Parts: sequence; structure tokens; C-alpha cells
Amino acid sequence: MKKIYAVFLSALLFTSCLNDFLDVNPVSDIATSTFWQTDNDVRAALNSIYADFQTNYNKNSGGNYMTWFEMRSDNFIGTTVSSSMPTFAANTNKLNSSHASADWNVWYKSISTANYALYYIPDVQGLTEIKKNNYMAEAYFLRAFCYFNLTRIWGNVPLIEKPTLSLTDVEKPTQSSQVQILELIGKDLGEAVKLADEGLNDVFRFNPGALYALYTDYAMWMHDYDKAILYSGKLMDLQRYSLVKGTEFGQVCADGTTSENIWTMKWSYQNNKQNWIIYMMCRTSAPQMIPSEGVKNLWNTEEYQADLRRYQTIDTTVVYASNHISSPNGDAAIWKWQPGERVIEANEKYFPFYRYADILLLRAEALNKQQRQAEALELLNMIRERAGLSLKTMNDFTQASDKILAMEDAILQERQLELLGEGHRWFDLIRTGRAMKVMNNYFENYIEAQTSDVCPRFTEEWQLYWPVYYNNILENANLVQNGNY
Amino acid sequence: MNHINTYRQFLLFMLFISIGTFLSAQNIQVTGTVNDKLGPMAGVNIVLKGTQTGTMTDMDGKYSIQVPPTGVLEFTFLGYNTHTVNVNSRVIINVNMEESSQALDEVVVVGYGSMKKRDITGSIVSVSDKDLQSNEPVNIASALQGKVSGLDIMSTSEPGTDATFRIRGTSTLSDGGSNPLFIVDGMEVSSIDNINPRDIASVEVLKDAASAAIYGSRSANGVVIISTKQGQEGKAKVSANYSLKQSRIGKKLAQMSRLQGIQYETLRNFLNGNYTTIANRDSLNPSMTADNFYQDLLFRHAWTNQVDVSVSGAEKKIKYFISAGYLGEQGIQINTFNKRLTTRINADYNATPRLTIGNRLALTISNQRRSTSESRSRLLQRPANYNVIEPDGSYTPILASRSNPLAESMVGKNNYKIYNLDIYEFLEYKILDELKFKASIAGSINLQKYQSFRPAILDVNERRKATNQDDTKTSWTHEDVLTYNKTFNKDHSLTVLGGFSIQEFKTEMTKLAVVDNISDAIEISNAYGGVDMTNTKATWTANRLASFFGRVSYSYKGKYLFNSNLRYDGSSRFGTDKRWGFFPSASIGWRFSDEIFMQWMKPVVSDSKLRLSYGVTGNQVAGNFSSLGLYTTNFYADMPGIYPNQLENRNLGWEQTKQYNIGLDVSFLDGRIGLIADYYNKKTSDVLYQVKLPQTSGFSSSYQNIGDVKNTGWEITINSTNIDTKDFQWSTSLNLSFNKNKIVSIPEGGQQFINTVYILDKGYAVGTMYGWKAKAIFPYDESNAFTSDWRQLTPIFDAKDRFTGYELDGKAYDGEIKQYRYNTANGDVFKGGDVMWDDVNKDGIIDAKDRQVLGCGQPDVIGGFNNDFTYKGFTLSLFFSFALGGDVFNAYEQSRSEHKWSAITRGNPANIANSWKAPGDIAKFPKPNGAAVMDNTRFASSLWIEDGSYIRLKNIRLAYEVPRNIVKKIGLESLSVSAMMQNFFTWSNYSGFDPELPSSGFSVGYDNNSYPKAKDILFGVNVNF
Repeated sequence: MKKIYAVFLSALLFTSCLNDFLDVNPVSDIATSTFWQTDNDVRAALNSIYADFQTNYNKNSGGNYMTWFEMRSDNFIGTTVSSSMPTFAANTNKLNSSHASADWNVWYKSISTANYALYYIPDVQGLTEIKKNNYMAEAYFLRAFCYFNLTRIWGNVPLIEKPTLSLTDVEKPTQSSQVQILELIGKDLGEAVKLADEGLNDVFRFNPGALYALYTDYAMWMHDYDKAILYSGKLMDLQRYSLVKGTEFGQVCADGTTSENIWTMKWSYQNNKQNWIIYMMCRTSAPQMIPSEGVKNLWNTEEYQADLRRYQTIDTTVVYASNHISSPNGDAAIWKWQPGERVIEANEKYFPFYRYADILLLRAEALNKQQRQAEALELLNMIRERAGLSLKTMNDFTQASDKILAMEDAILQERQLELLGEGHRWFDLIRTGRAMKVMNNYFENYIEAQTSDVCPRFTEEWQLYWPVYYNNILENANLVQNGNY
Repeated sequence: MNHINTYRQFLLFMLFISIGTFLSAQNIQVTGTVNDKLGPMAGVNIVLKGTQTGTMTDMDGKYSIQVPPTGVLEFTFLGYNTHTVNVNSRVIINVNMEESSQALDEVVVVGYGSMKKRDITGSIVSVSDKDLQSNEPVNIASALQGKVSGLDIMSTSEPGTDATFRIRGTSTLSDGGSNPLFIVDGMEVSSIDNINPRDIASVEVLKDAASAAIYGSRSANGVVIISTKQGQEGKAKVSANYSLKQSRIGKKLAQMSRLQGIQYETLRNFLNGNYTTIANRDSLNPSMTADNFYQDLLFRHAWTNQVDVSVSGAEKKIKYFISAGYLGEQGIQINTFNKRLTTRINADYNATPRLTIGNRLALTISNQRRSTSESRSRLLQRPANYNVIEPDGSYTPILASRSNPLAESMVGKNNYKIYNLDIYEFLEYKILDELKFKASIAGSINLQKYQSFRPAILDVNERRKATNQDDTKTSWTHEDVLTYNKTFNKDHSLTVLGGFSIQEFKTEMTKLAVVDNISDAIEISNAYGGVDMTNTKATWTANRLASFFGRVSYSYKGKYLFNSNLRYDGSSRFGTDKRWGFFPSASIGWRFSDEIFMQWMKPVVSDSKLRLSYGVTGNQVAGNFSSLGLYTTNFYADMPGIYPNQLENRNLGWEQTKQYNIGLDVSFLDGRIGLIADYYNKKTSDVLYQVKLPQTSGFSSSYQNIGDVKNTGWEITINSTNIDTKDFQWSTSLNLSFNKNKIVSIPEGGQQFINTVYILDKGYAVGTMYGWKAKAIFPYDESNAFTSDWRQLTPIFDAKDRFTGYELDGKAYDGEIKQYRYNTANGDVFKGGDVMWDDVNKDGIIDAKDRQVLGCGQPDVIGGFNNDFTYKGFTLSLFFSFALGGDVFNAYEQSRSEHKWSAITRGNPANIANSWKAPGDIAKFPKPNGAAVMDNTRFASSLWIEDGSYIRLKNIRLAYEVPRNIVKKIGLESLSVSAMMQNFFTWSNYSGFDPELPSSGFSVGYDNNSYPKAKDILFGVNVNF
């Protein structure tokens, strides 16, 4: 027995020495203790957020992008009902909490990284003040972009401003109101404007143009037309952007780096894998969405037949049958990201977040609202001229009972065609108060007229927003389901 | 005369002392033949009792020895009872040897030592060489399957793939955390596929905590100890084996033919309101003119050759065992194979009477091609009329996103080259006769080179992809063990063991992933157009372990037994404050058959022992750096991104399993019938669980010590020799294991779904399937009608099929009518052809609240049943294995029955035949329409759950041991031949390929496009000389 004691006594003695033996540190993994030291660390951390955006938009085989940004509007008809890519349900106001795209978590992953960046950047050594400020501006900008999308998609969402550094920081937040979220976005954008370095330009990442574009977009959502005019003006003052020729319109999406592109998501096949968004919208067999007949017919009107953008956006040769909603024609693709081509996967793909035409039209809207219609008309005509369309005159609007409304209608119609598939239509409808009317009309005169389907009508505000994913509520019982979902 | 006799005896005595083997002329010469039931036995040791005088029988079993007429001869041979004969002045003594059946004298390997089977107090099962080799196994999984109660092995027929091992159920909630610890010749290994089963002398399975606790922090799932062969005393023995196996697919599934496919498409389109378009009727399209039955194209009669040769022996100072084996195994799926070369050198040398040194050296090289999952994913759902080979002889490319299964199988690479080297060296020094010191060092290198190449034809965009990945796993272990072993006063025997070990495990990975290779001719990551940067990288990870361990065993007359194992482990995986853990255990045994008051039952019960044990074991399955805050990389626009992906948790520590075991060993009628029964209760707490976090934190989960899992169960083994005559024996063995598993607690909100249908939550067993239960299919639109208390109404139609009203219990009903709605209160109403789901909460809305338990993948009982019939040299064995009461989720059936994706996803023709097609149909499956608004073919549904119970006649074996007198004429020592039919008969109601499914983690009984089971015919020869 003594020997046993001896063994266990020595066990106790050796324990401390053995602790050194047991210290194994990671080599290929990065630990918090060794990160946030240099310029490159910050650059890489912020860069990861753009990669999140790719993941986020591409998730559910592109279903996230399609159902959040396009399918809820009258631009497209959805053709599938699977819970992972419910393009039909999104289009016909039949979303439910089991649809995978109702999951907002990837946005919060981006917000978490932005919060880490805001927490750690001030202590990073060896950065010039200008550079440090610009990184801070980038983090604020990215966080604002995430919240802006979150609140436009779900309405009330949790507000996370602090980084989760260890297990003890994990919380189960409740949702904050849309008003509070919008307030934070305004604050973040304000900070970013103060800190940004106006001299920098990188179309794939944060740049002052992108910041002003987001601010303009945000101000329009807030109906703050003065700010919209101010920041769209600042964007124009950068003197970097101009519209491309109408015959080269396709390049703004296919190339994504033209003089018109303000902020573009760059896609690399080899590093980011297949771009499902473009693939699903362009492919010939079983497309997930096809342009609605309304859009096709609009382009067939006398006014728009000469539109240079038309054949660079959709396949104009396709004829719709009377049962095209239930049996969509496989060729009826939107192909503006690769005009004239179908499933070919080029190495590089581009996906514009903001481009100049978008901001010009938003500015036109703001000017119109502020009774500066002549200036608004000038901007609208810039876009129409580029598209090869006849120019509008003041006379086109003076007859209308409500001049401002008439011009807003014209601008929104221009935005619908100009930005088809780029994810703006649905939010345009919401912020101008048109969503319910337009969509109920779309159900009654289009979907229900051509199929036996019955679409629930939009009557209440919560219907404009997505349900909270059932799994997110399982993870956090403090969350409340939106409306009656 | 008397005086002379005395003198002679004295002289004899002196001679024996001085020269031992020199014999006096006064002795008589005794000759004779030694036989067993097969004939003459060579190599039997014959010793004059009490002397060193001895000899050995020759090839004919004959011997000759000079002995005094009053001497006593002892005949010994390994595996046979020692035969003692008084010479009594006889000059011819013929002896018949009997094989020993006395199992209790066997020695069993336990952690860091061995024990007599008689003295075992825990729950340990030992499988001998003979049992392991009986079915000519290609790996350890197939050698052990069904032979050990409480050990569940689930394997596939795919060459070179790992089987799943579970000892006494799933004890933890981490994926892959329920694998037992494998120890080969004292060294921990991660994979046991590199070991040639022919080199194995025995396998011991330590099931209870008291036995396993000596392996401390890694032993919670039980321990499998594998010992390889050593040379046996005697001249060199050469043993050669050859086996030839033909395998074929055990079962084929129904697939739609060309015509059935077109009919299905017509029906589906019709139900969609589309009466014209049939995409695949175009008979002039050269790509669509075939009528393929893909299973005939993809599966073949495969041949497997296995050759092994070993040389072993031992002389006074040295013991040796050298072997080489080659396995050339073809998979039943075309172009899959495993070619494996194994070699082994085991040597022990007695350098001095007190010092022994030795080594175990094993090298394995294997070369495999495995099937890609894509190669089978379209097997049953790709339209039969799509070609696989074009008129010009080339493979058909992807048609309408449906890849070509033949091309997937035949072109490109999915190859593995695996090099494995295990070295173990030891020295053992006897400090005193009772005190031994053993030090050892073990090292292992496992290099796996993976090569994947996907030619242009396999990609939608015709873009080639290649990946080369090297995984190098290295590990080393150093151990020092002191063992004290003494018997006091004949009755008290005591063993005390103490030891120390340090270990390191390291994995290095290098991966190169490229796209756009220039040519299909260079099937490697070379000559490429672009690099997949997120996947091109090198990683390094390691963990270390330092341990102290000890054992005390005490036995009083073999009647009262006590055993205690202790271990103190430190692991690098956990935070500094939590890294050390103590794992104690104790067990007692009582051989009550040796008590005087039990003597009355001796005529029936020859031996009986009661065992009781309790112990604590651990699990450290969390990742190597799971307590740290870590970052990982992604990629955007020509630049890597780095983001936090693991949250710091400094409090992470061990998982603990407390287990008690009550066992009873009884042997009846002199060992003719043996019974081993065990009951265990195993509770795992502080489970290392990947807890879901609210992802608004930016993290999806983190490892925490939380939750409890309980396993309780029974194990029963019965061995019986039913008939035992000189020429004919019949013996039976049966083992049964009943395990019940339950998650006792889980953190609040920790409910998780794995593969959509497996629920992980408090109160449920691991492997519980959870979802919506389909009660029926509504025959008419009007069938969706219920009373206010949800009793279904019967719609009544007149002679012209016009709906006239409802009936309830045969009486007309005109009360309130309620209907089931989809998902929300104003959701769509279910119609004819839709599934009538079970509305659990009776609110008329079929939503997430209506989910319920649908089944469980874990069987209620598993086991094996073996019968051996021996007549002279012939042995006929029938071996059954079974698993009863488990369910299978047939995910593959679901994916091909969804209807909603596309008209060209072909379903199961049997299911389509049984689907709703027109009003009034009483069907099992919903209407096959594309616009699946009501989600009738949802995943988590009882429609895809089937009974996975099976009984399999795993092996029918007929072996013949050629009589020795024939064998010796051709210069051999022994020769046996055997023929087998494996997996030929399976009794199961399961509709998929096979109900036996290897699972990783929680998806127990999940059939997603599994590799079909093969049935084999096998012929084997074993030669010894």
C-alpha cells in the first residue's frame, strides 16, 4: 500500500510541472489574445462582414435574396413553395414562421463582428488617426446597413450594440421597436459621416459614396427629404459617378465596376462557390421566379418598347401562356447579371447594392416632395434619356389632380424598370405607402384571375414584415412573433 | 534386490539433478500415439512428472521416451486438457487428448495487465481468436458483430468505411462523442480499420465503469482492448489463409421505368391543371430514348481476395510472430475498392532471467476508391429514359440538373491512400519475484492522402474541380507501470498496480482545392485555373494528456473478490482550473458456489459468482481548443476575412459518467451451460453539449457542461453445449442486450432538431423522431369536415356523385362543421388528396404545435444467436444477428416522393400506385401534384418512418478440418476448408436497401441514400505446417 501512497503523493507533486506539459496553444486557429493587433487584423475582420452578406443573400439557394427583396413585390411571380425557398408564398402573402428565410441570424453575425470591431479598433496600435477613424466609420456603416435591412424586412428586431465577448455576455434580448432601430441607424450613419475618409474609394467595400447612398436611402425611408437631398448632393459632389450609355446598361450589373456603380458585391466562383441568386433567376429549367406579366406588359407599351434596358434585363422573346403562373415558362428569366446568357457561371459575378441611377431617382423623389419639381424632372429625364425613352415634360404632370403624386408615380415606375431585380421595389412600395394597394390589386387582377389560388389581402401593417423564424423563438423565448403569424 | 533398487533410484535422482535429460539404461522405453478426435497430433509435449525429461510427438503423433516404470507422464498441448498417465511398466501408451472447455482458467486482458477470467468482478467480455476468425472477416467490425452483448456495431458493405460502435447506448450529446476507446497492444488508436483481424489474439470489451475507469477521462463509452498474437512455445509454425468472396447487392428497390415515368408526369401535370406539356415524351431526342434500370448499371458481382501468412514460434529466450496479409476487396458498387497490405512483427526477448524486452510493429498501406454520394443520389429518381452513354460512346452529361450516375461512378477520383505505422516497445524488469516494472513507449503515424477530381462532365458548368488533402495524425504514449502480485498463505492473493502515462495526439492537415483544371487527363490539383482560397489551407491541432492510475485486486480463495481502479487525468483541452479529473471505481465479487452452505447445488451449478461494481468514468470529446475564444476565416473580394466563431468558456471541463453494474455468472452441469447476466445503470452528467445560443449574440452554439443522459439496460449471454458425444457436438450461444436511453435534462430552450426530424430534448431518447403524424388521406374535398368536438363526418353522395350532406355514426348530421386548415387560422383548407394530419391540440390548425413523437431509431433489443454443429471434422454454424424495435427514417424515399420539385423527379412506383389520384380514392400517400401548397410530403412526417426491425442469418458456415493422417501425407500439420453464405437471409419489413444503418451521433436509423448491403458467398482455406 505504501507504494500506492508514493505514487499518488508524487502525482500531486508532479501535477504542477505537468500543467506546463498540458498547455497546448492553437497554431492554425486565431485566438482573441493574439488578434486585434494590427491594421491587417482590422481589415480582415471588417472584410469578413462582406463575406457574410454573400452568405446571407445566397442562403437557401438564393432564397433569402429573392424572398426578402423581390418576391414580396409585384415585380416577379414565385414558382416554388418549398419551405426553404418559398418564392410563391412570399409573392402571395402566405409567409409563415417555418420558412427558412425568416431566419435573421446571419445579419446578427455581421452585427456581432461590427460590434467587436467598434470595441477593439480604438486600442489597435500603429494606425494613423485617419485610418482608425475610417475603420470606425466602416464598422458603423456596416452595422447601420444590417439594421436597415433587418428593420425593413422584420420591423421590430432585437437591438444589439455591445459585443458578446464571452459566454457570460450572452443575453436573450427582446425586440426593440422599429423606431428605436431606425434611431440607432441614424446615429451610426451620423458617426460614420463624421469619421469617414472622403479620399478613399473601393467599390467593393465601404467608401464615402456608399455611405451617402445608404444615408439617402435611409432618409427616404424616414421621409426626411432634406437629409435625402443633402446626402445625395454630397454623393454628387464627390464627382466620381456618372450614368453609363444606354447600350451598355447591362454592364452596371454584369460588370459592377462601371462609373455608375457606388457599392457592389463581388462574387468569385472559386472562393465563394456558386452564386445561387443569379443562377436561380437566370436558369432555364425550373426558375424560381419569373418577371410578372405586369412588368412584361409595361415594357410592351408604346412608351417603353424602345427602352434600351429592356432586352438587357429580360429575355424579350418569351411569350406567356394563360397558365404561366402555375406552369412557368422556363425561358422567362431575368438575366441582367449576365445578359443573353443562361446557366454559364463566369468566374466573377457582381451584385450592385447601390448605383448612381438609384440615388438620382431617390433624389428626384425627395425634390418632388419638397416642391422642387423642375429639378426632379431633370433627374428623371436623365434616367429616361439614358434608356432611350422620350423625355417627360412638366405638362405630363400639371393636368393631374395631385401633381406631386403623379410625379412620384412616374419616378416609381421608372425605378421599377431601371432597378428590376436589384431589390428595391418592395421597400419603395412600403415607404411610399403603396404596398397594400398595389399588392391587393396584383392578387385580385392577376394571380387570382389566372389561377384558382386565393391570396390573403394586405390589411394590417404587420403583414408587410416577415414572421420571426420559429427556431429563433425556440432559441430565445423572449422574442415575440410578429402580428398574427 | 531391494538395495539395488534403492541404489538405482538414488542414481536416477542424481542424474536428474545433474544433467537432467540424460537417461539411465535402467529405464524402460515407452512408445505410443497421441490422438485427438481428428487423428494423430504432432507437437504434444510429454514430460516425466517432476523432472525435466521430456519429448514431443512427431508428425504422425508418435513418441518415444525413456522413463522409469513407476513414472508418471504428463501430456500437454495448448488448448487441450493436460492428460496424466501412470506408466505402470507399460511400454505402449496411447493417449486421446481432449480439448479444454474450462473457460474459467482463461486469462483476460484488462487495462495495463491481465486477470483470470475466474476473478473478474466487472463486466468484461472476451472474444477469442477462434471466434474472431470464424467468418473470415476483413475488419474488426465484421469479426465482432453480434458476438458481444451490449456492443452494437452498425456497418455498411462499402469497402474501407468505418463502422459505428456503441457500448451500452449513447451516453453523451456530442456528435461522435459516443465512440468507445480503442486500445491496441496498449496504445490508443483512433481507427481500427488498419488492423488485420487475423493478427488478433483476443478482443476484450470493458463495458462497466469499474473495468473501464482505469482509462479515466476517455472511458465513459467503454473500452475495446485488442491484443495481437504472440509466438507459442514450440517450433516455428507457419499458418496460411486464403479466402475468396463473391458479393452482390442484397436487395434491389423499385424504380420507375420509362413508361411509368411518363405516366407519372402526365398524372402530376394533370393534377396541376396542366393538360398538355410532357417534358420527356420527346422520342426523337437522342438523350431521352433509354430505359435504364440504374441498379443493374451501378452494382456488380464483386470479388474479394484475402491472403494471409504468418510465422510464429518461441524458444527459450525469444517469442516471435511475423505476419503479412493482403486484402483486395471490390465493392458491389462499380469502381469502388479497398486494397490493403498489412504487416506485423511482434517479438519478445528475455535478455536476462529478469529482463524482458519486446516490440509490436505494424505497418498498413491501403488504397481505396469510395463512391461519391452523388453517384447514388440519382439512382432511383433520375428518369429511366435519360441516357447514360451517348451514341458516340461518351458519358451523357448532366441533363436537367440530373447527373449521370454511371459517369459519377466511373470517372474522376474519390481516392484515399492510407499509410499507418504503429510501433510499441517495452521493457519489463522483475525487481522481485512479486514486483514487476514495465516501461513502454508507443508511437503512431497515420497519413491519409485524399484525392478528389471531378471532370468537366460531372459539373453543370463543365468546370473541373480537384482537391488534394493530406491528414497526418501522429501520437505517442509513454507509460510506466509497477505491478506487485503475491499470494499469502495460499488463500490471499493480492495485486497492486500503479502507473503513470503521458500522451500527445496531433493532427496536421494540408489541403489544396482548385477549380478550372486545364484537362481531364491530369486528375490532381495541378494545371488549374483558379484556387479555392477558403479551402486551400493548412491546419494544426493537438491535445495532451497526463495520467496517474492504479489498481488493487484482492481475492480470498477465489471466493471473495475485490477490485478497485483509480485514475487521475489532466487534459490540455480544458481551462487551467478544470483540467484535472479523478475517476475512481470499485467492484466486488462473491463466488457463492464455493460457500459450504451452497454445496447442495454443486451437482447442478458448478460455478456461480455475483458481481457488483460502481465507478466514475469521463469523456473529453470537446474539440482541442474548445474553451478558448477563437476566430476563423472566410473570403471576400480578393481578401480573406477573419471573424469570431467560438465563444470563450473558461469553465469547460470533463463529462462524468457514473455507472453501477450488477452481474451474475452461473455455470451449470460442469460448464455445459453458462449464463452471464448484467444489469447496469449509467448516468452521464455535465454532458459536453453544444448548447444553442440565441444567435443575436453572433454565435450559434458553445460547448458547455450541461445536461444529463441516462442509459439503463440488461445484457444476457447464454452458452450451452446441447449435445456432446464423441463424434457429434451441438453448441448454442445467445446474447441479448436491452438498452433504454433517455435525456434526463437539457438547458432551458436547448431543444434541437437534427436532420429536421430527430428531436434532442428532455425526456426523449436519443434518436427519437418527431413530427406530424399522417392519419389518412382525405378521399374527397368534403371529407375535411368535423363536428365541434373534432369527430370526422362522413360525406354522402347520391347516385350521380353529387354531394348531399354529412352523416355521423350513420345518422344525418346538420350541426356545426369544422375544417382543418394549414398553418394559420385563415390558412388553406385541406382538400381531397391532402394528408389528414393528427391535430394534436385540437384547434383545427395544422401547425408546429401538432408535432409528436413518431418513432425512435434505437432498437429495443439487439443480439446474436449462434449454433455450431460438429460432426467429426465438419462444423456447421448458423449465426443470426438481430435488432428489434427500432425505426428507420427513410429520407431517400421522402426526397424522391416530394413531387413539388419537378416533374422529372421520379418517385417510388409502389408509392405512386398507392397515391390519391381521383376523388374517393382511399390511399396511403397524398396526391402527387406539383403545387404542394399544403406541404403534404413534408419531411418530418410519419409517412417516411418504417419499422427497422430485422433478423438476419448473417452467416451460414460449413467448415471441414481434414483428418491429420491425410494431411500429414502431404506434409502439413493441419488443413481446414470452409464455405460461407453471409447476409443471405434477412427478415425485415423495411422497404429500403437495408435496416442496418451506421449513424453518426443522433440520427439513429437515418437512411439517406445508404450504400446497399451486400450478400456474400465465401470460400476459405487455412493451412498450418
